[in-house]
Amino acid sequence: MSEENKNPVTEKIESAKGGHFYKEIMKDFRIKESLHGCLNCGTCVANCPAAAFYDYSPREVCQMIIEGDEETIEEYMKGKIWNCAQCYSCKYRCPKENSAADIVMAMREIAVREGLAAEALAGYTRIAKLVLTRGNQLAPDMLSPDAFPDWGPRMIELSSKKMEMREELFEGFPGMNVVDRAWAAEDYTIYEMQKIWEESGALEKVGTVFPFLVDIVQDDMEDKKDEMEAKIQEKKEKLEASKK
Amino acid sequence: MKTVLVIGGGVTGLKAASELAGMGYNVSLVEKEDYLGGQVAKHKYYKLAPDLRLAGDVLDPVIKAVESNPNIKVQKHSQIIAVSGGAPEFKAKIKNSKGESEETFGAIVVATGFGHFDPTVKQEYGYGRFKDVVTNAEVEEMLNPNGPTKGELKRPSDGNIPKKIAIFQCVGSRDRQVGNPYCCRVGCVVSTKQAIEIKEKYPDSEVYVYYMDMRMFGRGWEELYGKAMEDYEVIFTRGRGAEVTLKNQQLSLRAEETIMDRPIQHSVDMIILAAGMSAGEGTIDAAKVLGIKQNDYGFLSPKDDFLSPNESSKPGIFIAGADKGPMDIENCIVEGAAVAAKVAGSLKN
Repeated sequence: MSEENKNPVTEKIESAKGGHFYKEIMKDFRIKESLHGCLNCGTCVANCPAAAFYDYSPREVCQMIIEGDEETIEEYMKGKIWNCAQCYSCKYRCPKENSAADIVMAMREIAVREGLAAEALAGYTRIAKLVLTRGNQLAPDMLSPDAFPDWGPRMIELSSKKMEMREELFEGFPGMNVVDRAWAAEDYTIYEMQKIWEESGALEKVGTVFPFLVDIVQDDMEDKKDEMEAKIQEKKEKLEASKK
Repeated sequence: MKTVLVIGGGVTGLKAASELAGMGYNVSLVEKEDYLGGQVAKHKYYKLAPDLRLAGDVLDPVIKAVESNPNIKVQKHSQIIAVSGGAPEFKAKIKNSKGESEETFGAIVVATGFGHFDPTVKQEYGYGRFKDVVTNAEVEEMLNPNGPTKGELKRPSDGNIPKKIAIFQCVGSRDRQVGNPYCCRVGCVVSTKQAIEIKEKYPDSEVYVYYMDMRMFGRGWEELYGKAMEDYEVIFTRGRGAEVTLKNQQLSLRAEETIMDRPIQHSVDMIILAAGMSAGEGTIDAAKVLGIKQNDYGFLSPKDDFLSPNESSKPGIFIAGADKGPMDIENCIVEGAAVAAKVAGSLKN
């Protein structure tokens, strides 16, 4: 059949299965455990909290992997899989004991590795930055009432006084009376955490999604370096001494 | 003339006993309950698919053929507790209220049947927690004029007649979560039959069937399915019932409408669970006492599914009916006759 005569709607492209992303996904050890065919019964979707609110369907995820169309997989890795809440309801209800949640988890890792996740995760930049620089996920400052109109006027009023309230609430608890993070971790703890991320390669992975955050973390580490390395040395010596 | 032991007084065992007696053999029929008819009698099955004829029309003649035959000794309330020896001479210990006795048999027919799947383990359906979630067997009892509600479908919670009824297919069947990946083979047609019976009795009611596939492979089943849709306006929704909750004293179910690709919630007055078949207690006991092979789900394994379907893994011990796997009444009667022929052949040699 010549190219012009192909019907774009009904034509199934034979070579669509077996592309790079499909192969990467099938290589993951979790897939074999998580997909045993699909009855299309809809139990997973009916139980899925994400499916109730977002454009996401665990049944579709299973069907998509079974079909293995490269373009669809890429599209999913850029978008829909990030709507899953990883609650695993699908796994514990599926009559075939499939686990869309595990498939999604494997796909997310591959999406990060392959640089497909940046757009879907852009909304999490502030959270990632806070985790990497302060060791917190969320700060009271990030929960602006403007973003949550359903909180109502009372919350707007309370929000304007949150610093005073926290100071009063956590009097005598240093580190808790802050609003730019949930609590203040010690500099040394944060530095240690950052070092682990750097050594383990986690920071590099973060860089595939948030490239500028790597610089921010490295600058942050550089600032504290001399003081913290001295502290580490001191701890090491203490440890050695205790061994003797 | 050798005596044949038939274990189980359900349709299969009854048919096997009367066929063997008809060929001139002496038969001892052992039944653990104090009535004959097995699950059909126990749950007062009312009408049979696909013809909607009374279950009694079929069961009564089968029972009568056994009770009126002088060659058959019926022992109710009795159980086989031990078997020794082998073909062609088995010694079986029979226990009943009067005590234990030992008899010698030339062959044994195991017709111990199935059990209704207990949906309590499917906690998400709320059976046992919500009164108005009932099983298909309970609905049979209700629809039977000799049943507890005298033929009326009543909500157990308040005794009212439900207006909106949902039926869940494949409860405890085709489900790896409960270890039953097989199809129950009768749920589809039984639910369709019950839906028609309900619509016939209460034309104002709404009946919804939540299914994965309607497997209408039996005689007249597909036609019955068509009738349910065309003449009785039963609504079939493709999507398995997933969860039941109670909202403001009303049952609310969750499912996915898989053809329209959308999750739905549906408020109804009553939910009927089409619970499937599992290996009966009697079948599991018999396998233990006789030492015959079972399959992964507890049902009895034939020596060869194609070539010796009524022979167990041991010579002289024969199997038939729903103890081999889910089976409808029509086929159980065929099995009863088939096993009788096989037993007669083996005793002649």
